[in-house]
Amino acid sequence: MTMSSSRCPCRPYPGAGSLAAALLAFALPASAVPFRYAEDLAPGIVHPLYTTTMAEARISELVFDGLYTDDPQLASTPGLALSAGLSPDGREMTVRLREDVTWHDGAPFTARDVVFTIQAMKDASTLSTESGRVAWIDQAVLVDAHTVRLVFRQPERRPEDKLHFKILPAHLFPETPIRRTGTFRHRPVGTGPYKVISFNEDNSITMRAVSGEGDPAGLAEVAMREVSDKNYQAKLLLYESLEALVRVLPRDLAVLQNHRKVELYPYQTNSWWYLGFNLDRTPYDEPSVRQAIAALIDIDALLAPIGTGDVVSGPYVPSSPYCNHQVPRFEHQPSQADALLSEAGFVKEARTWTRNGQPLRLKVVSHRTLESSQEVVINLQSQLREAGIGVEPEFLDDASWKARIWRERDYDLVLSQWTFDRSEDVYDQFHSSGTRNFTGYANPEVDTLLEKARTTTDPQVKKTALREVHRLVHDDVPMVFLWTLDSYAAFSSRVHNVVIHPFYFFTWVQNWRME
Amino acid sequence: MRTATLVAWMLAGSCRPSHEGLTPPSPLDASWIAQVTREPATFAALVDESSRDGWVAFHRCAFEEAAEAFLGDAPTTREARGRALVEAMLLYEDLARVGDVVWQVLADTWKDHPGVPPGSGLPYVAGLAALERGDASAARSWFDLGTGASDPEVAEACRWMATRAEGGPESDVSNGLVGRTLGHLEARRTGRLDPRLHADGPLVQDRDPQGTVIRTFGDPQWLRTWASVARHRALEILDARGIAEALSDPVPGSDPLSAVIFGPCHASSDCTAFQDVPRSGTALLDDFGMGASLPPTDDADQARRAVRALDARFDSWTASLHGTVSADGRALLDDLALAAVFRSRVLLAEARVAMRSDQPARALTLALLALDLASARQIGPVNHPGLYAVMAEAQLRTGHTREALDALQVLETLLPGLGGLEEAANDLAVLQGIDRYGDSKEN
Repeated sequence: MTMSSSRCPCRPYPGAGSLAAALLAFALPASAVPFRYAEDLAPGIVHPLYTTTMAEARISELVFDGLYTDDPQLASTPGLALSAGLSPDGREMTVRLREDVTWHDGAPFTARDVVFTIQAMKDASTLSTESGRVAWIDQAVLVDAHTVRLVFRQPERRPEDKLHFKILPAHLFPETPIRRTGTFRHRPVGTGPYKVISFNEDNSITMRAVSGEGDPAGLAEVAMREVSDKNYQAKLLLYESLEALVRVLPRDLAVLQNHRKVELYPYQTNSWWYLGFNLDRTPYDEPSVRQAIAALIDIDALLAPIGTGDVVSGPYVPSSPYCNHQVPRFEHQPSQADALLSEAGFVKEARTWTRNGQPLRLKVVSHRTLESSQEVVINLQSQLREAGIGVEPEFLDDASWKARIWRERDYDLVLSQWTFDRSEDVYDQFHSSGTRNFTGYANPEVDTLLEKARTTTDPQVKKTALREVHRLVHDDVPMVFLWTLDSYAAFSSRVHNVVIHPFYFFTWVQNWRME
Repeated sequence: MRTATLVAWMLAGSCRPSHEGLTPPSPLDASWIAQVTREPATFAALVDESSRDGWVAFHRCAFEEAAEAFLGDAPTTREARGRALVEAMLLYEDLARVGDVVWQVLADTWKDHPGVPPGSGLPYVAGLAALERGDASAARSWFDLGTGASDPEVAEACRWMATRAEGGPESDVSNGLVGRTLGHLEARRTGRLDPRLHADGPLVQDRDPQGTVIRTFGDPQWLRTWASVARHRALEILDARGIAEALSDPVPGSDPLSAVIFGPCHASSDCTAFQDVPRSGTALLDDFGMGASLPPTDDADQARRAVRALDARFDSWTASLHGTVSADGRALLDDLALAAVFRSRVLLAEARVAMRSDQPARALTLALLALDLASARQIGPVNHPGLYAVMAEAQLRTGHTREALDALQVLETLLPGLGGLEEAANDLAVLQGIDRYGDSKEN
């Protein structure tokens, strides 16, 4: 830090002139300014059963409630539940529900909503990406209008810790299964602190505080703004056309830290970038080919242009309890890669690796709005081309991403980022039955360890099991593990009482205030 | 941070003093920053008189290394070595407080759910941790529980501690677990660490019937022992009975700059101590708009406002200074990041005061605002290790154990293993989420 970065309240931001259109677009009379936060991409849908991105999770947190939620000390506290009793054998829990809750359309919230939600999530035809969160519940039984009995597959000690998933309004669905493409995704109705007022033409979403919820001095209106060019987000905050950025680019940190009208808050840190192979495609189903490609990638050179971070060696970041620090990171070792490719039957002809006359080419797919993804993919393309491997980059919008990656698995290599809550549960990514395991990874030993980690109550047994998972997954190379970046949210200094949930962001929004 | 530049400057020898004046009305005009930048020769003289390597290490917050580098009995060198040891002591004390929280919550949570594993050595470690935080009653309960440990040595140690926890004649550290515990107490009494006490490796291990290790527990006594040894050494070198006395009476004949440079007090005349934490006196804090007394409630927003008030005044003063000192003075100000270092130390001192006053939200906010985010995962001149210790304790006290691990991981680079603290914190983070299924999303 030098004098040139001293805190200045009025320093013009470079490129300010080009912001005019964006500023005008977001201009509002001072008296009508809502709390405006930026997302790189507006959620394609607002539906808690199909939430796959952090942007969707954040908006679900505003609109929907679960039976339980986190208190500011991150302990489970009742949300829609009023009280609960666990049977002595831990196999059943009777939950008494609040009677003072109505859905945003005015219908009363009842036990039928809870039963319906669990049944819908468990219905395989619903194809919910959240189904794993209710797999441990065997049955949900309606007892009366405001009481539900949950029957578990195994004895549970603190089932409330798993009852944080969001509840849907049964009266708006004819039956289970429900469909992702139904009208609910654009007309969401929840019981949360904010109700959706409008999906706007500029892709923004306007939400208004539900009358009677929280302190009347809180944020009356919240607007999610889509600002796909992340470079503009910091500028819009500095020009007071936004009140918050959910994640600041590492390169913007210095400017924002030194600006008196901006406050930075650390945000989730359990996220890592990766290059994931399609393990059902030849030749990426061959471990030696994956190891070779990993050895051809200079991770430090990919990371350098986008900011500072820690390189990761497996599915846990270095500060995780489950990180196995004995596992080495992937190193750039071209000669080792050459040997591995040769062993796998590839030959280098005219500076290109081929096998049976076919050149080795990778279709590398990334989400259009993943910050700096274009920079990373282009650098990766350059590195692999230099090494004799062709790369076809492709950047997908949200709908195409979900179709091509999650459903059709049409890719060779995918660049993406996973973000985890503090449980850092990678079961869905690496268990052969995991709902987020679109690479097709399957290792029986890893399955066993992940299951053991879910069932043990001994923290050291769990820690040991998952450190072994870290090692095994690293060695199998279903992904080239890249890095974790520091994450900060930025708020206008006009917003007060801000405490951010480390994963869901808006959990305690009702306490926030704005001048 | 520019260590290379710092070293180059220090090796370059003395600089000419500036004759340019500086007259804004602020207590900072008499500060070490003003002195160093207005008269760079004074800094060069200090470095020449003591140890360049020592000040380089002190500047980048490697305090043990600095203490080793300040050799000899010259007054200025003694003062510098004493200050480095006080800094080390404060860090270990911060970490010992982190350990107090971690061990207490870990042991109590484990006991509550899923229950202490039968035959485990956990009660012995929990008992020691309770003694560390001064809770003799809890210690006795834990030691009683531990008499049923499968390991006969652990069971015997629990029986001994349950009945003679206040001390005894044995102090031979080779004499098993009890000897090790008494070795810590002896080190704290004398300020000398028996080399047979080894910080690495677990204190207690649980084994299954086949003899395989299934659990390990570190020694919760290390951090306070290190703090105590550093305190003894510092006070001996500074010839003082306590930190407050050491602050008010620098070593006679020492260069006055050596008592305050790179620290939170702008001058030794304005240096006070709150529970051993050296901090700026009332005049400077008032001038900064921070106020010397804490607000009645633990308020993060109030802390942010206070820091903004500090920044407004301090930036203005620093800009004025920057414009009036010589090129050599400006080079020192910029290359050594003196303003940012001073700001960071002031905020760390206030964060420590807040932490010791049971205001974790304020402490966390002050520590976060003191960090240079451009290198947030690295200890350096601005990012003092104490900031991470304060953040870890504040996060733990507010239930955010997983976030505390981020701060502890940074400290791991300075103190590998942290005397077993890091693994205990890992266990706590795992235990607190043992019944959860996690959530994950893309991007």
